[in-house]
Amino acid sequence: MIYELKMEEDAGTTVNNLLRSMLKDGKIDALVAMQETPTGKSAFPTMVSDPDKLHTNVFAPLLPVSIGTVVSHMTKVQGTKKPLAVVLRACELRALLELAKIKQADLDNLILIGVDCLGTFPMKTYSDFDGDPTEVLLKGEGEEYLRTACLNCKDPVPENADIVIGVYGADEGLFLDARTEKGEGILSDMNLDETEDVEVREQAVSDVRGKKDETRKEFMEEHADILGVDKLLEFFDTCVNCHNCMKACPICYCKECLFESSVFDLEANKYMAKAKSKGAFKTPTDSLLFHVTRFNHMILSCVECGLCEQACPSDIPLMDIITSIAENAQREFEYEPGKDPEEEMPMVVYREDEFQDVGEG
Amino acid sequence: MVKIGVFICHCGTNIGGVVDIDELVEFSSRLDDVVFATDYKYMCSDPGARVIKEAIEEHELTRVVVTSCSPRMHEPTFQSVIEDAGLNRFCLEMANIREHCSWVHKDKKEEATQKAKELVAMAVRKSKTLEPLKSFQKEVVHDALVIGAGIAGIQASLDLAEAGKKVYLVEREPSIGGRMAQLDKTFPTLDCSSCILTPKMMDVARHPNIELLTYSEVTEVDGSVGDFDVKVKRKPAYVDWDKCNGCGECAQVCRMKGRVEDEFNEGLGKRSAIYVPFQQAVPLKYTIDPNKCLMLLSGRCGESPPCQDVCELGAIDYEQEEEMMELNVGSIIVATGYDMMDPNGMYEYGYDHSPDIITNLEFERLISSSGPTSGEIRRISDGEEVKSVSFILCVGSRDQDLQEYCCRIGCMSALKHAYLLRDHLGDEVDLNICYTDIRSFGKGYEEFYRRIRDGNTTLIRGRPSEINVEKDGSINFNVFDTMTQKLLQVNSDLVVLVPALVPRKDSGELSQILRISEGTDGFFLESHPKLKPADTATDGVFIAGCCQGPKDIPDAVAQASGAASKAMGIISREELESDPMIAWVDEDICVGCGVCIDVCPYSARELNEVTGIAEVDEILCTGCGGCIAACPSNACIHKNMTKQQILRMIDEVI
Repeated sequence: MIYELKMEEDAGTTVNNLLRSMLKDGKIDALVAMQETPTGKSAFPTMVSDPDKLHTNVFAPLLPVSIGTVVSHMTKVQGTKKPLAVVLRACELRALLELAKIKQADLDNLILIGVDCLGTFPMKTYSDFDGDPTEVLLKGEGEEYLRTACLNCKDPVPENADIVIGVYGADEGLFLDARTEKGEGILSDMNLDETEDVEVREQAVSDVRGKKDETRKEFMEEHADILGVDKLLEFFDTCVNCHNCMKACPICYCKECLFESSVFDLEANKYMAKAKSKGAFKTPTDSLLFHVTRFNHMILSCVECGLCEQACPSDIPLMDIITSIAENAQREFEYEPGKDPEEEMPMVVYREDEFQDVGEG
Repeated sequence: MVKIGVFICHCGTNIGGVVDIDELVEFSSRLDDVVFATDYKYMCSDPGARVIKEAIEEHELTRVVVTSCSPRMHEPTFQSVIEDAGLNRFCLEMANIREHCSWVHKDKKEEATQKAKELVAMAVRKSKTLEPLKSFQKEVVHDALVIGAGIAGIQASLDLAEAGKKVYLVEREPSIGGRMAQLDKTFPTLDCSSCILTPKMMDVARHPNIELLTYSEVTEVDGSVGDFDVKVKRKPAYVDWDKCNGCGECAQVCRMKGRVEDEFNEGLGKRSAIYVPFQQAVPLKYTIDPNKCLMLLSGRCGESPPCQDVCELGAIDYEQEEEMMELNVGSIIVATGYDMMDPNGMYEYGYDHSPDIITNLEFERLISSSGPTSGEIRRISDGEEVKSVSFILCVGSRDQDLQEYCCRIGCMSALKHAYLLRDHLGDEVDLNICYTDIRSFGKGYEEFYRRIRDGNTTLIRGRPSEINVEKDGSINFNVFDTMTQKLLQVNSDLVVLVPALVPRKDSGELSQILRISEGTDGFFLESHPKLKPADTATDGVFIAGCCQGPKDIPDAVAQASGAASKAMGIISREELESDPMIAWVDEDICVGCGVCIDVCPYSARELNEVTGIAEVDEILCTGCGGCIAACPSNACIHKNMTKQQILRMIDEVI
């Protein structure tokens, strides 16, 4: 059921009050949501259990870290026994559901509250912003500041949460959409009115998805020429092998990446022999191999949050290629990461007739 | 310090005729850490083994590289050789320069030599990091499972039971006997099929070492050689077999009597909904067909179900439910037989145009004294006397568009039928056999063929283009006899088609359950076409009879005894040596994502709930490598086939 959440002061405060009453009423024991840091220059996922210390701004247009990763760290060793609400964006929810499939997060007793995402700014743009970045975005402005990943977001509405806080289509207040029984159980006795604008909401969601689809398609066409080894070598030319992209990625869940082990290190005479046969070679030798292997490992689960690009010290526009690679690979395997927690990852599914044409001709 | 010896085999001219051996020896001896390199004509021979042993001693070798044929052939040979010389048997690495090189590049000697060099260099590189491994022992379960109780399954079970082993014999039909029970006489000796089969069926029923599980199907197999866990589904017969004494009164009073197509008689007769497939059935216990019984279908059968009323023993039980049974066996023999190809797919033979066009299996039932006509041959359409019969061989067999292979029984079965018809119907009956080539290869077969050929049966070498059924029901066809170069027109009261034998339609499911392979023809694949005809790719699982390919009864029985003796080789041992080249988990790296558990086909992986680490069951792991490929963290490591070793090998050639 979709409820109407009446606006108080501003959208951020409205949601903050809603979350506070959930905490006060004991519906949840604690929550994790975006909360501004004391400097006001940033916001980070924060775990709060004291209602007085709740100053969330779930609309802050910033993605310093994926809440998917945060919740993975919090629940992996052992899941929560008491209700914990997690307020997250669509790409964070997708990441969390992917991580749960590979036992890197435990969803038991989590109340997933999704927020319509209007997009996020690069960290520096946010901290240096002249004015209130949240307000600008809620007014429907500031698109020029958005990160590439957000401009081309595959779906900004986190529909598979228990509750969705809806901005798209909202006029006076906000939408509160109970998507599951769990969500309905929480909202049903909070004295909320059912909205009369269900159709308006549905139309708005469908419009924003349509618009994103178009932008995304254009974007992929624009960068369709980055193909083949030579183009890729050029693309990753400034890579310093820091592996920040891998560390920021919510899907890269290995404890120790193969590329940080000594597997690729050879005996000195082998490097000398290589130099002799080639005349010269650039080091580190495994930059491109690292990226290609990383894609091979995570691309089917890629939720396109763009954290890899945000983490790159060399400003390599990773999303220019990742968007297409993810889209195509996921289509080939008929797999949508983070959509259905029950859907098995292609890696563990055996199909006898898969890719019969590979290697033919 | 690593000291490597390289031993290059000529394999006669197989390798020596293509690869420049001298150049290869010279190249090998210059590789890092190689202290000795030599060649020999046949490295796998006794003198070859001596070359290796002496060199290990003389040069104090720590690793041995043999470059020869596929390790599938001779890895165990060379492992034993180096073990004899005091090295750990896993300190051997092989480079396959025969199948991977000289055989496929025999016209390009120079390039082949270059490739051989690279293969040797890779093997040498890998050999440096080979880890000496220790095999471990695992206990063997001494019982066996036989799937399918046709003649092959029966024979295998009896052989094992006679050797003192407990055998579970699983059969999905209500009775054992299989195809052979349907046959009238057997070629070339014309023994009555049931007369020679039923004593064996009785032996099975009575044998204290055989537990017969009829009307049951294998649904799941876990574990590996020496210790398989098997789940068997026991379908409900809706009759309590402990009570049923096989009197058959229930079938007499069944409301569906004479209304249900009788599969055992290939649809030529009718049975009741409660039935035994045939009178000599073992066990002689009645089964209710759930798709035909009115009580089971609609919950009522007249005032009250007559079968229940008539059964004084109270054996009828409509509430009976499917049961699952768990077995633990050391070896499995698969003998699931064949299906006959449906001739309806070949419209030119008109199988569905006339009831008088039948298959040879239907003919077996027609001519059998226990069949629906008690052995009297009459036209099926109108019961008229039969004056002419034509046999069409190779229906769907030896046909590049259908089944390319020979059915191996068609010629002899048609010759047998011709003989029997002449015997039953006398000299007046007109007999034609349209053949491609008469294949009478078995013992006594050619002699039998000669008897028929010398009689007055017309043998026509050719396949009819189309069999016509006229409006009055008469049948005729044209056939070009390539022996006489004449186009013949044949009229026939009865046409008997001899269709191809094909794999059971659900054999694919069984092959997945057992993890055995199927050949391109769909039959289960033996592990070597000549030397391991009863083995499969899965250790401890053997195949016998027509599930491996079409064959006649003597061949099926011989293969069954062979499979039984192979199974004995396993279950009669106390312990088996387990291959230590299996998966291993680096606990510092494993994140417990569980991907390996999902991909492991042998249930050898489990997540330790305390540590969150995915562990390997060393007994169940076969070293297939599935988890190693799937593990994104490189935490799963294949012993002596590590990623590092593979990368080093690749590095050697790029």
